[in-house]
Parts: sequence; structure tokens; C-alpha cells
Amino acid sequence: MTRRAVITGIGEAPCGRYPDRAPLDIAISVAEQAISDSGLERKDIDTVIAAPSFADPWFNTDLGFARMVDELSLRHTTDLNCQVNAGGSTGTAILKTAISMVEAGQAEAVLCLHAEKFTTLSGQEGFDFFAKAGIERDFEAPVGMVYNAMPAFVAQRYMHETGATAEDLAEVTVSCREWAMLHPNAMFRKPLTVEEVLNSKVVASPMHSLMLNVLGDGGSAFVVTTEERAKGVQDKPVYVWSDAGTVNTYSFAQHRDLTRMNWAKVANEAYEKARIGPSDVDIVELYMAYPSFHLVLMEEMGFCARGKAGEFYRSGATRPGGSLPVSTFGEAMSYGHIGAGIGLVALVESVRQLRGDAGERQVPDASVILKTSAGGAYADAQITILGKEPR
Amino acid sequence: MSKTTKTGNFAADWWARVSAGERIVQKCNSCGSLQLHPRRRCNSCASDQLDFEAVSGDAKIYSFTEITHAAPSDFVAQMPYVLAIVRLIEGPQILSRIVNSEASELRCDMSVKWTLAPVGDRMLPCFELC
Repeated sequence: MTRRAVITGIGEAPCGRYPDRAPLDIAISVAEQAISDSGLERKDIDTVIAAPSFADPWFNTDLGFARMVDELSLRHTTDLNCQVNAGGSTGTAILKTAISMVEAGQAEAVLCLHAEKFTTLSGQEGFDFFAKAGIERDFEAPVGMVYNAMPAFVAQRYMHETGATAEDLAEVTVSCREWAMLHPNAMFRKPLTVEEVLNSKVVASPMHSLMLNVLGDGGSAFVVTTEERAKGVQDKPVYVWSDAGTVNTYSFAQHRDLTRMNWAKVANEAYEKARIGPSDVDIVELYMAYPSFHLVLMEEMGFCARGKAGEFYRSGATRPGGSLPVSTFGEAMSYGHIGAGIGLVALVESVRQLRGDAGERQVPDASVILKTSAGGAYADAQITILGKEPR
Repeated sequence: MSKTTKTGNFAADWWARVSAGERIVQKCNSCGSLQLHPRRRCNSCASDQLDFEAVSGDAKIYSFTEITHAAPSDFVAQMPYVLAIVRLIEGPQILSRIVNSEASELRCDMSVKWTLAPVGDRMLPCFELC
């Protein structure tokens, strides 16, 4: 009998600045939530996969060294503990690993978890971290390369080729904020206008400061098991219909086409494998951490014609109540940037939407979700299509 | 055709030579591909038979941005500065700076030429409008 893996339990911590909450506290909390939500017993978990935690290198090492097996009282019932790091694509990589292991019979129930505590870094320390992570050290760091330059390069080139404006970038930002306002765990939940975004200072032209990310503390977790095992204990499992990806580069400055980055190729492969088209997608859980990428991806993935994404966001289609909700978790800009784990948050949100448990953010009849990720310095393009029924 | 010096440290070699005014990229002796930034292997065919080759210095701005806030510690004093993805007419592309222009004058696809300019206390390859 073919084993089919499902996502069956989720957990999440509020994202923000919590000085008294250690990353271990976050990790235990989200893991316990996910196990409980899965309906499984603690001892049913036989595999633990942790995402990286960048702010605390010793906690990060602990995650690979089975600390969570100890802290969650899973000793002797866990076959394997490991860590999987693909930067911002970590959620995708962990999901693929967990699904494969379960379907191959190498695991029965995989606990996947992430916890991050970025607020221990000062503002300048945060800039310094993101001026090293994913930036080529021998040839690019010496000229002052910074992470914010990446979406800025995309924005400049995209605006040059399509006539889009900074206002389009602001519309994306505001759309994501509207979702975060409905998300109890998001860091930034106050109303935001296009005017406020455009009046904020320019940091890396044409990116204004309110288009950028603030680092937060947070985490999330999920459990993958077989459809059989979930029966009777979790009545709303979520299925992966397809995944597709391509790895383009290490250095961002080596992308040859910043307005495409092979997203169309990856989307077409994901659609084909799932036997759907863009019009079948109910929600796009897009995580790229900056608004300029939204304009590119929505076009390349087939939701808007070339050069028309700004108009699409302006129309309200991507906002609560719109025809094609995008980033209902608020995106990194409004949810808060928690490093490698935003992709896990987007997955947790996808599961809630497909179960009908997204509260005020619930998209009516959400049945098919397209989720994106990219890791490192936008090294790759990853798409996962999820559904509430088997495909 | 210039050969690499045999120090084994291709990064230090490249920086030393371009800081002295040479305009060089890596060339693969196995497949002929040209590349920047310099690497240990040919990015196209994986050969390790790489030498430096002179280029014209002519290029275009593929994209750019002016950094006015949130630079890393070593570069805070240099703000504002313009970072750019510059594409040489010979093909290779590199992250560099645009110097000697106001950011407001710059547009994607403008022609630029390879020059040397101060970056902190070093003279590094940068590009300026033609």
C-alpha cells in the first residue's frame, strides 16, 4: 500500500520583541502545540528536524545536537534528530525532507520546528549580520554590498523595463499589512497607508524604510505523518500536490534577469505536476520579504500579465476580501522577519486556511494554495502547491 | 594574455592587479568562458584551468541603488554610495560601485567604463558614466 504523507499538526509563537522569552522557550512552545494539534502522542514522534537559528550560534548548534529531543522528553523514542538549512527556503526543504522520509517508510511522524530570537541584535548588528549572510565575502562585501540592495536592484530594473513606480511597491506593502492587521501573531498590526510608506525615508533607492523588514523573535512548528496515522486523530490533514524548484545562483548580483529569475519555469512545473493552472489557486502565500519581488513573482507565476502586477495590487485583489489573497500571514514586512522560519510560518498559515481555521483571515472555500520561498540571497525559486484533499 | 601569478590565492591576485589598474576577468582555458567574480572553478564547465584576461573596461549598468541608510559598520562613513550590477560588454557581470555621478543621473542600461576610485582607504575597481 502506498504511503501518503500529510501535514497534520501546527504550532506558532507570537512574533515580536520578547526580551524574557529565550529561543528554547519558543521552540518548546511551538513544538508542543504542533504535537498536540496533530492528535498524536509525544512518543509517536520518531524524527525531529530543526531549522537554523541565526542570532544565537550556540542554540543553533544545540538544535543539530538533539537538544530538542531532550527538552521535549523524546529520548529513546526518536530515531533521528537533524537540522536542515536552506536560508529562507528552509521551510520548503524541511517539508520535502519530512514528506520523503515518511513516504519512503524511514519515518512515521516528523516534528519540524523553528525558533529565532533576532531582537538580541542591535539595529547596527542586524545590518551587519545581513551584510554578511548571503553576500560574497571576497568580492562583494569589500564594496559595501548590503541585503537591502537586492530588492532595490530588482525594483530599479523592473521599473526600468515596465514603467512601474515606487507607488506600486507601496501598494504591495500596504496589502501585506492589511493581512497582518488580522493576524494575532504578527508584529506590525497598525494601519498603514501608501502615503506613509512613500513618506518614509529612502534607504536603498527606490526602497523606502517602511517597505523593509524589522527583525523579530518568533517561531513555528508542524508535524508530518502518514494519512493513515492521521485518521481518527486529525480530521483535516493537508496534502502536498506538487513541488518544484530551481537554484539559480549564490551571489545575488550574478542573476542575469532580475525581473524573471526562472520563476515562470518553476511555476509551470509545479502547475503541471499538480495538474492545475493559476486560475485554480485560491491563495498565494508569497514570502520574499520585500515588495519588489511580489511584482515579479505574480507576473511570472501567471497571475498578471507582464507589467500589470502593480495595477493588480492597486485594485485590492490581493487584500482581505479580494479575488486572489496574497500573503495572508502578513509577509516578513508586517509579520516580522524571523530568519529561516518565515517559510514555516507561511506553511502553518496555509494549513490553517485549508482547514478553515484562519479566523478573520479565512479566505472562503480555500482549497488550493500556492506557496513560494527563496533562500540565501534569493538563490533559488521554490513553489509548493497544497490542497485540503488528496490530488 | 596575462597569466595568473602563482601565489595560489586567486582572490588576492585579482585584487592586487585590479587595484594597480588592470582590467581583468577570469578566462577558462578549457571552454573559453569569461567570468566575474573570480572563482575557484569555471562556472560553466567546472574546470580549474583559469587565467586572467584583459577586457575593454566598457560596460552597462544592469541595475543600481543608492545606499543612504543601514550600511554595515565598515561602510557607514561612506554613505551615500551607489552599488550597481554592472555587465561588461564581454559578458561577465559584477557587483561594483558607480562613482563620479549623482544617483539621480543614473538609469539602467547607461554605458559606463571601468575605473579606479577610493572605497574607504583602498583604491578599488568602480565604474563611471562614459
